[in-house]
Amino acid sequence: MRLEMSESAASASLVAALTSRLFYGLTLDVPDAANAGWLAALAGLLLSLPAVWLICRLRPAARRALALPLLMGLALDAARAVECAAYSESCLAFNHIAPALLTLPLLAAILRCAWLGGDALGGAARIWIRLFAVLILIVILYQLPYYNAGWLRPWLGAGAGGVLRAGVRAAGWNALLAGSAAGICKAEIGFKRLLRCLLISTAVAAALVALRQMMAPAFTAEPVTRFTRIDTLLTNGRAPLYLQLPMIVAWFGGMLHLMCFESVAACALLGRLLPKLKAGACMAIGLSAVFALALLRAPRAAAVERLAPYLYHALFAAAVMLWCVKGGEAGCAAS
Amino acid sequence: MRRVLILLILLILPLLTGCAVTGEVENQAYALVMGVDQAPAGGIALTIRIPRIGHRDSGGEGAVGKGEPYLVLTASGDDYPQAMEHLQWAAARELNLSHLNLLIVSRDLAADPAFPALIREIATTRHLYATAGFVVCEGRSGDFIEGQETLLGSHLSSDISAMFRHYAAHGFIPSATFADLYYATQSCYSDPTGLWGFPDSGEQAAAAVIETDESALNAQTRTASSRQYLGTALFRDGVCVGRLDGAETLCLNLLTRRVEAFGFEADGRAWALSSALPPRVRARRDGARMRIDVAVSLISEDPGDPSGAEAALARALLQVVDRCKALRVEPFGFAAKAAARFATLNEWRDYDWRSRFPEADVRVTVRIATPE
Repeated sequence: MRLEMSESAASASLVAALTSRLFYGLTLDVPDAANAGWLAALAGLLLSLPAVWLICRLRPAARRALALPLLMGLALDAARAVECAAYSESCLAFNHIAPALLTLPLLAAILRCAWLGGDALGGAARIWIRLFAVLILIVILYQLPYYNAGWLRPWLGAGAGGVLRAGVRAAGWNALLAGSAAGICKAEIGFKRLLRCLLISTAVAAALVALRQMMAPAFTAEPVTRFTRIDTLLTNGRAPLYLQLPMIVAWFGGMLHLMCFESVAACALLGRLLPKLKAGACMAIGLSAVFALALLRAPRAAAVERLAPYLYHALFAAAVMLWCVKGGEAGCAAS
Repeated sequence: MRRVLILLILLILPLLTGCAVTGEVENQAYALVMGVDQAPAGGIALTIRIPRIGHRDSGGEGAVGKGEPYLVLTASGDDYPQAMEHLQWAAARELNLSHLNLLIVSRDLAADPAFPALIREIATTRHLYATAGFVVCEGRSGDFIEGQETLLGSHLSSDISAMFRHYAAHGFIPSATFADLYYATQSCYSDPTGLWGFPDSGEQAAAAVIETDESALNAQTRTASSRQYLGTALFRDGVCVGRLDGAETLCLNLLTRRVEAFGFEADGRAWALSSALPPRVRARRDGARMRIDVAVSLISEDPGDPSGAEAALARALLQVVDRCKALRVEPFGFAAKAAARFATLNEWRDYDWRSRFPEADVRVTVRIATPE
């Protein structure tokens, strides 16, 4: 098995995974921006550029050292995605199912995906991007009469503070996933290529977040639970019942790509960090960590929740420190 | 070894999907209509109408059932969760609310100050999808549901959907779903509305015009059903505070969306009109006051000078706006436009649109395009 990816496979996987991460993050994880989530996605792109540029310009030794914070972030974020997907399954299921039973099939899918290797994941991402476009087109066409553009106003939503907070979180996901894609490529992946992937993901995610915010207004009467957010997103809205199928397929397909990319990238980065470790061992250790974190619901722990907003700060600080200690300006491809 | 492992994973997957306890259709009680009332002894009473499994329409092949194709079940409890629990027991099968077409609430309950809390409870009921139409009815909703006939050869679910589509296209009812009510009570935009339902009085004569109230309608029409839907229930902060009759509802619809076809009488002449596009609404701040300009564009197939009809219709539309201002409700969707004049949701909330709307300067212009 080969966990590393070709440049094109890494790009496709990055676009598929990052689009899902931004969408699910800004609608469920960090709804701080209220109805201005789409602005937060754009702010996240701008904020993340310096960190991504810096990661791209690091020397190989520095980039190897950066693998440690990246893989820690990836393992936690993958476990968070698994937990969120399992929770959304429980919201949709007609029967009450134990959370572990809902988590296990997802973990089996990740295991199978990692077994097939990084390039297979990239190939699947290329197919998924096309399928996703078709599904979303169906959803938009049928949903068109039910969108209310007025719910995007006032344009700044919860205010500049809220948009900035959500933007920093989005920047963290951008830096984490783009930095990981740069780290697991067989060949050097250039800043321009990463920038293109970031632009595509952000544009698609911002558009989807805006469309989602046109489906239901920002709730201001009382705090909104995660169940209500998932419920109003996937089932309990003004959309016709028959739209649930394409929406749910798009949701779970996107989440599956995110989990698989993050888990495979975590394993590949472990291999970069410890070159003597065989790919099988990297996979065993990396996936075990993700599975354990997901089954223990570690990403929902209060301490992790408190630290989560500082992902971007941590990655940026690590990149700056490594630049200072180990140097940069080398190993960056022209495009 | 690799193939065995793959096979093993594939075999395990179906066992891990949570589908072990299958939900067969025969084991489900699909509620199509649900009514919510205040129970006579206090608390909440729920009434549902579910299709009888195995029943076929009399005209269909292989008829296996006899009698009513639908069952009506009622359960009550001290509060909504308890009433729902009792209903689960009464249904004798897995109660499935995912195909609910209509949610009916009695006027007394809708006017109760505790109703907004009940809206939240109903909306967060698992698998009660909020696309259901929302009706406020005269009298008890349980009685209203029991008296709802199904037309020969039609299913209640498709019958209701077709009827509401037709009524909405002609502006007889607002387009109101339970999701609209739930979202509006939880957000800071315009007030929600509900459909107004009432029982037929039984005194009928053939006529085809929509009059201003249900007594006139009952006196002049003959329909297949003893349950009628015409008009709008108005809500302020999630509590029903009044209603609009058929003619006022048409005006409300003209101010909020496209109406496919309707009739209007002015200067002793009947105009057959339709709106090609939704009305154009502009909001601007004039100090603390908001100015709303609404432009309604209509099409008439009949030639003639429409200036009299334009003025009369504009007056009728403004009367409905004034009526809503008097009730301190804003069901026109102006809030979404006015909110654009504020930078953040907090500023918009502090402005308190719902209390400021009665002071707003609303101007309506109507243009009727006629053939040359």
